Amino acid sequence: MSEDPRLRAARSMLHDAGFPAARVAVAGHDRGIVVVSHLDLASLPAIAALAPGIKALGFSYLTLDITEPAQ
Amino acid sequence: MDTGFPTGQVLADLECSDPRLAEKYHLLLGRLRELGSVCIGYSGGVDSALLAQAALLALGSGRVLAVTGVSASVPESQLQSARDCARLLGLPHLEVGTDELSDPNYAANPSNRCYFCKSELWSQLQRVATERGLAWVLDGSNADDVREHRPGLRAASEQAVRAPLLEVGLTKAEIRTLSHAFGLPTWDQRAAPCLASRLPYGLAVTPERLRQVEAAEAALRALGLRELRVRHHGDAARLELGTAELGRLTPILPAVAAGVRAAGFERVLLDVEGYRRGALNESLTQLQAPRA
Repeated sequence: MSEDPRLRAARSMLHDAGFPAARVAVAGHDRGIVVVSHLDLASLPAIAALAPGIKALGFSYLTLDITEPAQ
Repeated sequence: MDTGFPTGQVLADLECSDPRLAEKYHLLLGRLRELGSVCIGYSGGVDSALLAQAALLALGSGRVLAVTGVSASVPESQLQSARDCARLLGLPHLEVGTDELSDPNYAANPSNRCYFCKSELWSQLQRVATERGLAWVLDGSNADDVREHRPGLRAASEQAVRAPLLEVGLTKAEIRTLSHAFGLPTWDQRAAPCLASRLPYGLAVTPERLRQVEAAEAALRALGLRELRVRHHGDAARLELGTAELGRLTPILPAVAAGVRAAGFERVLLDVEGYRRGALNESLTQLQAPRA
């Protein structure tokens, strides 16, 4: 199955903003949440600045995965 | 009522400092006197607490009853604060069970979910008012509410529920100012919508999901976080935290994640935009758009 082109675009925006290690997935019962992982909390302000652009791709929310934060 | 603030002196001070607001409050008292006796939909929040205070002043405790609807969508902490405030005000207070969760229209969680919840609430309050011989059922809606997405207002209108705060044009900010002047503990209380508001439209409301949200939010509050919402997205919880909370998150991050996972969520997602009121309405446009 081919990747959602919106996710590819979101990943590209993160990489262009200086987060080449970021991984991007989609979550939520309506697949409206972008989940960014492999970044720490310090990157939150910079990621937040990308929210309008990434949401404009057709998502409702941009999130950072903190399920298992580094100790 | 004795909250330590002599009402007459407060009103006299208000007439000097803010005559327009004092006039609105006098209008409110006059409106309540005209109603004769009232049964108030009382959550213990900013609006219904001020409405109850004014009703007590205008009508006396024998002609006022505050009624709180109790169901799985109301957190226990909120019920306790409603009880505490009623006790402080000397307010006759009754809790009645509401059964909105057994209504399939409500449980399906459409964007007008609040309409079905409020229909159930107001029908219960109309029953109580009839049984107790109270003339009117009152809602604590204010003048700002009509500018928001509030499908519950239609239910109130259909069941002849009056909204005196709205009728005299009191805004949320004015209600907070009055509450502060009268010494009500609710004056700076944060908005506390029901737990179902944490589920995105279209995700079914179930007692188990409501319990998960309540447990996760309680865990975060136990860590000292205050301005927060745990949004339920199936196996994932999306956390919206206030700016101050985000600033002190780093040392408690593992405990935050563990607390939310312990409530039954597999994934914990931090919303990068933080807490904002009505965030779930942001997805309305997408939800209503045709799916590809």
